[in-house]
Amino acid sequence: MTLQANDHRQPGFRRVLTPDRIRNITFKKSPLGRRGVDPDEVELFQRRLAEEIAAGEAENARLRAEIDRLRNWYRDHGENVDAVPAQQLDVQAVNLLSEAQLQAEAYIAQAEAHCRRVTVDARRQADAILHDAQQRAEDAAQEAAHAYRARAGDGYAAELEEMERRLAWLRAFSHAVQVQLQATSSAFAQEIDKLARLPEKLRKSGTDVEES
Amino acid sequence: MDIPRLRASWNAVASYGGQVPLFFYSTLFLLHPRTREMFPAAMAGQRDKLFTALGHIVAHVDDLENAVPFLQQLGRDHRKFSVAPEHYPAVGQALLATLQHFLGDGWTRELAADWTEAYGLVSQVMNEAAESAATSSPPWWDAEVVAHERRSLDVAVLTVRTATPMPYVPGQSIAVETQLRPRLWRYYSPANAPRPDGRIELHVRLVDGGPVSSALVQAVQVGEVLRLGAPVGHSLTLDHKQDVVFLAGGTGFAPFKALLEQIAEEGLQRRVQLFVGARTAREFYDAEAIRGFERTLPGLRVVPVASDDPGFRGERGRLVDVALRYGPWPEEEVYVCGSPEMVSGTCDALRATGIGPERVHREEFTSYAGTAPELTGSGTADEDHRG
Repeated sequence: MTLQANDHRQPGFRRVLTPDRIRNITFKKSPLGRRGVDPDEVELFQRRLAEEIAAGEAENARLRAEIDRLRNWYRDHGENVDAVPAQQLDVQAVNLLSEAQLQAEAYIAQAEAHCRRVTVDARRQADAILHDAQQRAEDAAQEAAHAYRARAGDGYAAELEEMERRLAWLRAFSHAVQVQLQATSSAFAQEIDKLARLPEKLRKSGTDVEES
Repeated sequence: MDIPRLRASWNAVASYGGQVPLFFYSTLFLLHPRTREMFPAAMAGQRDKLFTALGHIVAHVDDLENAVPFLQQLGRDHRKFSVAPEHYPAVGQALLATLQHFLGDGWTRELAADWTEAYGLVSQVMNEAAESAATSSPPWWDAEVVAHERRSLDVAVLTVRTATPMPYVPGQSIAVETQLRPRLWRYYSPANAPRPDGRIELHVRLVDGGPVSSALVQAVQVGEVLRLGAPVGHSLTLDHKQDVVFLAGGTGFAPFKALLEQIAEEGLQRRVQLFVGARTAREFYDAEAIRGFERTLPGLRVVPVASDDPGFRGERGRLVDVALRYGPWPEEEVYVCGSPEMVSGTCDALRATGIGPERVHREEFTSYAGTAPELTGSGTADEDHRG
């Protein structure tokens, strides 16, 4: 029995592809001058495919027999096995979904850990900035009080010294904080600029791979 | 129902550990895809809670007297996750499929019947509690954010307003969800007694990496609508006439602020010792309100304590150590609220000086009456709670 690969069958008629049909299928030779495939390889593949299908059919038969045997056993023991359960659980699908869930959780956990590190760093930095500013302010206040006492002479007044001290403290504190804020805010602005340039880059790389 | 058999089968399944709830939820979502949207994206904590809750139920299945309040609370709590009666059979089906899968040959018709009956009882109790709660309160309250004040790097004070008043008692907690972090619920205590205008003050501390607290402190804006679950917990409520000592760590001050309002209204000559803890002086985020109480409450004494601020002129050190120096407290009822570490450390120190759990009030996050473990959604005392 032979079967033409380009056999135009009548619609609605599906012939079962058996191992035997696969083995005996013949292909038309491609016209001279047109490219084709090695007929030996095709034949090898046909045999291989036929074997696979034959093996699958044998396995199917074995399983059907097993199912029949089990069904009969249950029937004999009074269990109703003929009603098909409403929904069959596909354990592979369950496991696949579980894996996807774990994967997603790993990403989320990573993002949270990153967020935690950033927050901890930011708090530490804020503490350091404040501590540093306070220290500088303390020093400046001491210095101002000292200078006032040195130049006050007879006109010394405790209230004036305290005022000098406080003024120097506030000036030094706000200066120190300002310097830090400026440094931070310009670093931040640079980051923003980088981000703003990103879409442009992406647009360009869409047409021109060289640009990067 | 053969209870030893039921328990033995649960123990056999539980020995598979984390695989079991993972399998259960995947099965549930495959069989009933629409249930997935009731859960947050990451469910690791969720799965542990399911285990705990199921373990509780199985352990008490022959002691319904005890199990019923727990199940009723579970049923009521689940209303805020939009759980409807039709979800119970879906969960039952997934539960049975999971047990069957892990028990293999051990899954018999008799066992299936036991579990079906047990789950039927459980879901009936939960369902009935949910139904009866539905006659008196909504599944959740929508609450508009009307003010958001960042008091320090880590603490924000939010004022929200519910459209319909939410009945609660000072000291109780409510679960909060923001649309920025859907399906993640965290418990906070209102920092005021209920008001006729429905305003509720919430004190939120940013927990590093905590998804809900960081959204509530840094991202939520005025005009946004939060969801609030029904109030729970009676561990920190005040229903006696004894003198009290309040130990507040960080935003653990919130329930005490509500209790101070209650005390101001009750007209008793009660003595109140309030110890407020913070890391540094900058972090006493509600000092002005505390001064207000000091002016109006003659029986109130306030001691601020900084744990980590060499420049602070007041008391320094661990909150409970300072408080014990101000003692002894032979008669007083002692209330503790703060981070989980602060609460457990404080209670240990109190017990060591003879102040036992019978007059120490703290939130019990896994107790039957309080914030019970949940089968769906998320909540209770995880990383985001106050402190």
